[in-house]
Amino acid sequence: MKAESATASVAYPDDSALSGYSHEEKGAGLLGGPLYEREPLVTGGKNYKDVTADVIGWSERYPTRLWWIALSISGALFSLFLVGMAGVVGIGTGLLGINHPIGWGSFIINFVFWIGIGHAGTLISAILFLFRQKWRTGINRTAEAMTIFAVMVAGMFPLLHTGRPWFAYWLTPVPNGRGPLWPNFNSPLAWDVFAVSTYLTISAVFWYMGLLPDLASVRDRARHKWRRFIYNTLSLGWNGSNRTWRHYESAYLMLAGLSTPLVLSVHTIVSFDFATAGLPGWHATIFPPYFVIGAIFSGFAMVVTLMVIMRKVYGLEKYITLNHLEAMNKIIMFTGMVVGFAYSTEFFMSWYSGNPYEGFIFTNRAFGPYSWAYWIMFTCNAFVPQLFWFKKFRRSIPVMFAVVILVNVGMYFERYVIVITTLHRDFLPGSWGMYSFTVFDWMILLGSFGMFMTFFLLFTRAFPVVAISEVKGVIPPAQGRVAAEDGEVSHG
Amino acid sequence: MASKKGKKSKKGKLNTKVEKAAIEETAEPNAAAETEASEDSEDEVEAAAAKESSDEPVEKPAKKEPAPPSQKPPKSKGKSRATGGGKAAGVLAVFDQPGTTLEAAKQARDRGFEKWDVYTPFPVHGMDEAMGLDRSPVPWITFIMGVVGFASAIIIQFGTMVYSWPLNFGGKPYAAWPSFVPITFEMTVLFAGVSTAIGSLFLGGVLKFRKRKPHPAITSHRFAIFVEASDPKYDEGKTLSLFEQAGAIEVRAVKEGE
Repeated sequence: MKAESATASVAYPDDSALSGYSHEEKGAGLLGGPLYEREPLVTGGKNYKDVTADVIGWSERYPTRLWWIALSISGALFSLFLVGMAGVVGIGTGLLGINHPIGWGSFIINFVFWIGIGHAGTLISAILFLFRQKWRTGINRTAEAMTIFAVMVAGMFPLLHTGRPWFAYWLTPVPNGRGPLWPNFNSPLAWDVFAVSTYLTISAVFWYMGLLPDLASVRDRARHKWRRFIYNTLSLGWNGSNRTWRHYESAYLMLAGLSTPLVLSVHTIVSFDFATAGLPGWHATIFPPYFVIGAIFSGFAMVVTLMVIMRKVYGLEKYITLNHLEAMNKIIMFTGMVVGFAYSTEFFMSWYSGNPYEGFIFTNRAFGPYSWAYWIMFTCNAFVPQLFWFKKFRRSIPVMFAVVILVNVGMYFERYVIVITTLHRDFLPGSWGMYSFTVFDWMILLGSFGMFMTFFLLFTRAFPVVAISEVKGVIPPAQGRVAAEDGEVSHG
Repeated sequence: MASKKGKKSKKGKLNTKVEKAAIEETAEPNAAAETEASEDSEDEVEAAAAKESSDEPVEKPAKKEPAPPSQKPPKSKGKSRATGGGKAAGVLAVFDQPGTTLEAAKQARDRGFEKWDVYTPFPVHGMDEAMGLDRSPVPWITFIMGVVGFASAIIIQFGTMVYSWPLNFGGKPYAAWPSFVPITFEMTVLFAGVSTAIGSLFLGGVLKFRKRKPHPAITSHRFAIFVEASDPKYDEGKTLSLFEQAGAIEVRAVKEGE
């Protein structure tokens, strides 16, 4: 703390000056050895005031035309979602492509897909926090928001899937006049209700806790009466007191500790929806880890998709640098390999188990009528991320954008393959069938993206998209210091 | 608001002798203090706020409350405050970096202050020790409420599935505890997490709305230490000079209701 002016020896004017390697200074370290200094997380020599201004400034100006265009497209898709839901609720789930052997269709596919997307946020904010990965500070706010919106979208589908969503409260153990008749707690559907609602609640609490100091920053900069009133209410009585920080930091650590197993539990429980069924292709002990790692994989892909756009549009290249993106790409590559390993393990087990039904299902997956979906999945998830072995590709925006889009597509098809290929060819050839999307399936799928993007776009306007107080904590004090301005006097 | 700004800049002229010494970086004309002085209306209701900076919700002996009517009028005159102004609320020291704030906090701690606080835009590592604060009790809330959540889940599941209305699912036992594990875990996390958040905000005083916000740039780039006048060891002159020597960029005595 004392020799603050000595640190921050290397100037990184902007994002492109970063190499991704530690800076080596010969003879400066212990016993005359080299001293390695990590590249700064925030480039451009930003001080504390710049951080506040850069992040909040965006929400203080009138939205750009680009934002309005994006919002109107998302809004249109969102209304498509509402129309689709109205049809499915008002007329019935028969409007969808589900049929006799394939009783689980796009609702379950979308549910698993969106819940999976929702895993990166809490992973970044909780697990990377426990591992002291400081680069998370640039991206955690957006990732957490993404998590909340993805889980909100995901939560719609099991409700719609029940067919009569107005009875959805029967899934909760409320005392009732029907006996009382309780939900069956042996059922993975009941587990799902608890897992998803807990996950949504805890993610929202975690997000709001992180937001509190930043909402106070918005409040203190606000000029308009209403703006000040709203953010004053949202930030409660936050005044930056260290007596508050003391409890706050402790609570943040506790929440991170609680969320870490929670992240792992949610997709585990989602995988139980499949694994507790006795069907070949689903009834496998590999499912929980396979689903969790796939969720992290798809979640990070979505984070990178959004970050690449957001850092450009919102001018946050100095906070979300190429080093941040590269770190995420490494995680994508690693989890992609684990996912590929899981696919191969499933194949191996179907042969090794000697179970003819297992063997049939997997042969049918890879070479049957849905082999196109299977190979899209395998290529996008297991092969494409291998590009990230090369540093050049990890740090290239166009390459990484293409890869993460393909990963998003691949992970959608993973859920498609799991749900459809197992169901469409039953034990008896007499009950075989095929599945295809109807107009309503498309409306639900595209509309869910609309709902997600609408919420996300509104979030980027209303709240600080980078965790301001956390980023300030990773800036070297010598760089962050704001000298007393001309005239900033002691007026007493 | 507008009238307040005018006042503040005038007040500046009176105490300058105190802070001139403290200011190392720049010599500032008082006028521009207005930009920073746009504190919101909450400060004006701050008669009772002196007690708030200590984190126990204990009611302090009403040292300042008796004189609320006398607070506003002197302010409106600006110049006369040096002699007849409101009661002293305390001493505010503003810093520009965490290191000096930390050192100043250590000195303030060693001075034996009790009713004082450090305000920072982000958590400063080591500040709890520097302020002489012990560990936060928040993990106890987490643990106790986790146990409560665990117990509720056990009671709900065994109560409904074994006692209230046992149903036979494929001849499996009623008390099928392995299938109760997921919900038990989720309820434990839910209870513990939500109470941790609410509990920490309560303990940290964030749920109290009328709080001292000593400087408008604390949530942006300034660090501040505020010593309440109600502190038993409070001595305006000595406290001012303590922070001057500690390298504050601005030190001043703050009047009640300012």
